[in-house]
Amino acid sequence: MARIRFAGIATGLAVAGVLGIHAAGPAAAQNLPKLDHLKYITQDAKASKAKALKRPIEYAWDVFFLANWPALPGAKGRGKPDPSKKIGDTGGPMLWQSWKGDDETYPPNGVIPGPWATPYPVPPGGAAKLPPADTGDLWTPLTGNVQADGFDLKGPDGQPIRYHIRLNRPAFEYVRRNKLYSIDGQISFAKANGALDFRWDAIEAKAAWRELDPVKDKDEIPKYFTSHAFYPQRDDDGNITGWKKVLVGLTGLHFATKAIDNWVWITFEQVDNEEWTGVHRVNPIPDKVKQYNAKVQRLLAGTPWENYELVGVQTDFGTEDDPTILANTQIESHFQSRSSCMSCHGMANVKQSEPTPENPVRASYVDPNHGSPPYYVGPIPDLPEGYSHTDFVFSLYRAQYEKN
Amino acid sequence: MSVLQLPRANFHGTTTWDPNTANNSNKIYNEDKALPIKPPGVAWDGFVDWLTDTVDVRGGGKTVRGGWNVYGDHNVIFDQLTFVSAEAADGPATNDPLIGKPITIVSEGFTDRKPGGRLVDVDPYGSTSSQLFFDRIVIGDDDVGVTGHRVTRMYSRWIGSRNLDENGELMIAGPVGVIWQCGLDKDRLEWSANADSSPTLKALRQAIEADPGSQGIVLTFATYRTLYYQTASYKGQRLDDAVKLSAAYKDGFTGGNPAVSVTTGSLGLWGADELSTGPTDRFLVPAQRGSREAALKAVGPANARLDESAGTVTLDMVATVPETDAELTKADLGDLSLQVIPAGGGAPVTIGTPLAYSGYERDAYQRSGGTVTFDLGGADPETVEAGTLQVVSAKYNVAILSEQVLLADTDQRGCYVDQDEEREITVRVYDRGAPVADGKAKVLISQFDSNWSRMTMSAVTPDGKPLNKVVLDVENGAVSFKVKVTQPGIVYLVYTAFPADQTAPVVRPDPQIQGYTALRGMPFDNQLEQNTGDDELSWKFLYENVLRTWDKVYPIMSEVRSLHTKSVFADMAEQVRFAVDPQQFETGWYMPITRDLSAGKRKLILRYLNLLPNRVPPDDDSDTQPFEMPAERAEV
Repeated sequence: MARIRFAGIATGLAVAGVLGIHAAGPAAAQNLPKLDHLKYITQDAKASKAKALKRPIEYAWDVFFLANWPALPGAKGRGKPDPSKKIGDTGGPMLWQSWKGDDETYPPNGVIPGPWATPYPVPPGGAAKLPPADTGDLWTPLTGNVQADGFDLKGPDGQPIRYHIRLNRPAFEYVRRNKLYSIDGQISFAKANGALDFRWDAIEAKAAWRELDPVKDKDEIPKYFTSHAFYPQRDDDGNITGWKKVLVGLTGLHFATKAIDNWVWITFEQVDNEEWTGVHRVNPIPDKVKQYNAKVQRLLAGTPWENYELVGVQTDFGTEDDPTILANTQIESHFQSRSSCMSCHGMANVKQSEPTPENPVRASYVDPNHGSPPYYVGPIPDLPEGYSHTDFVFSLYRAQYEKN
Repeated sequence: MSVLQLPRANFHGTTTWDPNTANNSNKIYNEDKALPIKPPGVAWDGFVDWLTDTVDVRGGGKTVRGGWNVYGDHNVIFDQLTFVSAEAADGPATNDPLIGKPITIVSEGFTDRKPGGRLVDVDPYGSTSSQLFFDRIVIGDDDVGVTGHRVTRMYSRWIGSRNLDENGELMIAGPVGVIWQCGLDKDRLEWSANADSSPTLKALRQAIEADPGSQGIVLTFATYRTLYYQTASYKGQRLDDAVKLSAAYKDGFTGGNPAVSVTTGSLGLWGADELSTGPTDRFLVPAQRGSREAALKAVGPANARLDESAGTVTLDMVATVPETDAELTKADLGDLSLQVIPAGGGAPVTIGTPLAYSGYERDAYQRSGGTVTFDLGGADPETVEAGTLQVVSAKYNVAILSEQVLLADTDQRGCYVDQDEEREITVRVYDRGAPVADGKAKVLISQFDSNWSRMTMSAVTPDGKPLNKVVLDVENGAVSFKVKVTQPGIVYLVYTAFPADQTAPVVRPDPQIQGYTALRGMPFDNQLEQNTGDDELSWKFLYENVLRTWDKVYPIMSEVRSLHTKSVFADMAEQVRFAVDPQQFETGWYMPITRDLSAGKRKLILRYLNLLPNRVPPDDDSDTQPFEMPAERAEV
């Protein structure tokens, strides 16, 4: 029987950690980490690796703090935290929201994406009148409504939870420089070089958003980090019939950092998810994580982040008999019992040659041999011959073929 | 071995069945082509609604056009099925902790929810080809129990109208009963921590470990007296008839309407050379099927085993004595005597004491799983071994069961053969419950249509000779042959064993007592695939030629994930590729659950998936665009 297992906790959990936390309540906001304390995440490989392995819970919250530091405004501010702001300030994109979206990184028909510092996408027809959001004028493009298992998760209003992926600059530039933004480019790269290898400071974020009705959900809105968002509406044949512009609340947030070779897998959720989105959490949050969350949440009182909690951190596969399990109820809703971020992403791959119906462009990440739900947990098998790993990065699956 | 020897545990309760019923009708579904039949005047968009209309029943009343379960998903649950008695190696274990514990059936699934078994007919129009796909049977629980994994799917056997329904309370297949059997692989048994606290499980484990020929655990059970319109409700109202069900469908109800069968059975040791899916002990077949007495006519088969060391003969009568009503009152056939007719002829010898009605009435039957043990008494074991058994009803003074000495049967009772594909089928032959000796028997293969009425010729050998009136010599207790099909559709290959020194008998096909294979020639779609270029393989083409069957005839699929929505299908690409893989055919993951996807159409699906995301040709009449975020950009 699989159990939840957090590598590193036993060897070095320090609940206070970098925060030096003891106080609680709104006044404690001043005890939140300073930006300088968080820069190690992208500037010091050794420190990042050490902390991720020895104090993973603290590292996970540090990533959260850095990623949710307000970004500098405008295109030139993308990827840069605003040193004049502090955690909890709102009114524009957070740092992770200033990273490149999957829509920007993998353009249709495999064309080269624009450079890093392009302006943010806006919805067709311009902005709609919506209640104010924590992200100010930012419009979040919602590029997916399906989870890795092919199922969706319906929110309380019947609308699916929707998703968006963002890549930080080292991750984006690796994709752009190596022409991995198209399937053709990925095949060529794999053929020439074998497995992909992102830089140690690459980070990906995947956010889950729930639509919020300004009237019906007025009591719940204050407990969410909110954004304006847009997504296409389609008929059954895939034709776009319109664009919906909505207020959304953040229900789940994944981070994957390459602080270690197999990446560090971190996931957060809004604390009321079970009640408000109706998903039962299969794997309880470990007590040590809960304890740390409680202290941090007290420091975050009065900010949108006080209603978010760390669900877990994964830094190893575990073993075949004792695999490490980690799931976000909003992102892996229906296969939580066999959800291992590292194992599943470890199967991310691309073929080294033109695909055929029998040998498609990706070898399957569905595991037929170890039970239900059929997804890999624990150590992963070798890929079939002719396929290369894509360094745990599934966002590459968003790429399209180049059109002649 | 089998359930006729100790140790044995007996269970009783109910099974719920949630099959989709729309494909049962040849007015709705073309079985040869696996396509929906759209009547004139009904648009495809209105097809499912048309299925949910009420229609008049001949003789009065209403039914739903698509049957009693348009939104069924084929799930099968052992509901409230618990152990009611147990017998360890040396007899009853009245305090066995296994008693009262459940027995459950589980399939593979794509989510954390554990589905039950999957009921799928090889021949959707017929009633003699039901299959139960599953992954494992959980016997007991995590504390006291054992979990066993399948060797192959289960099949219904011994179909018969066993309930006399004297009060006219039963509908549809309500009076019908069948038996099922499954072998659980010896090498994949997972014993619970305290399994040995059950004397029965402990004895079972010891017996398996001590017998190198043992294949594991076997379960044999009967399902009977099926009730319909018992389980579904909508907006607080029980949907207890077709009119209410139809109205609920029209109002948006998309749930299942499972039927419920009473279930009684036993588990025991699965012995060497025994089939996984059907009993192979001495076979006693009904002897009064032409009787005017309803109770005699409805008597079902039984199995018997002589245990010389114990001085007993045990009968499995789980499907033998009919019930008279929905309350499951057993028909009173008077005292039942087990007798043996000596091999050399002469007067029948009664074995032990006749079984009084109190020994097979409802409660006794349910408590014992239908097994009854007779002491040999004065009967000579050798006479019993070599003679022919029969069961005589004192009330009617006739033999109600008589032994059929030779039995030919197969674990490949359901078989799907694609165009140009060859399949090998093995039929095992038994002589009084043991593998027949070489040179002693032959097997006649006959071939009948889906109504069991006409001989057909569409199942052939690889060199094209019809597999009909073909006689094969038995070697090592079995015959094997290869089969192809010359056209799509259903045929039944019926196996009749006969003594090698006799001429082949004239076969009267009888699904209750004969071994057979329900063979489905899959739709011949290879040409469709070969004639479709990638430039024609648009979403519209795929939907109209491949996916529409399950979207329309099996509408629960699109309630789970829409088969008519291009983006949804694309988002499931990884799972679709996995689920249609023939390697998953035995599993709960396989799609379509109805197992009517041809090789040609499977290839079209795989080719379509290979064109994703943006090599799929546009639909002829659409301006489909890839998902493209707008070019407008803004400073934030």
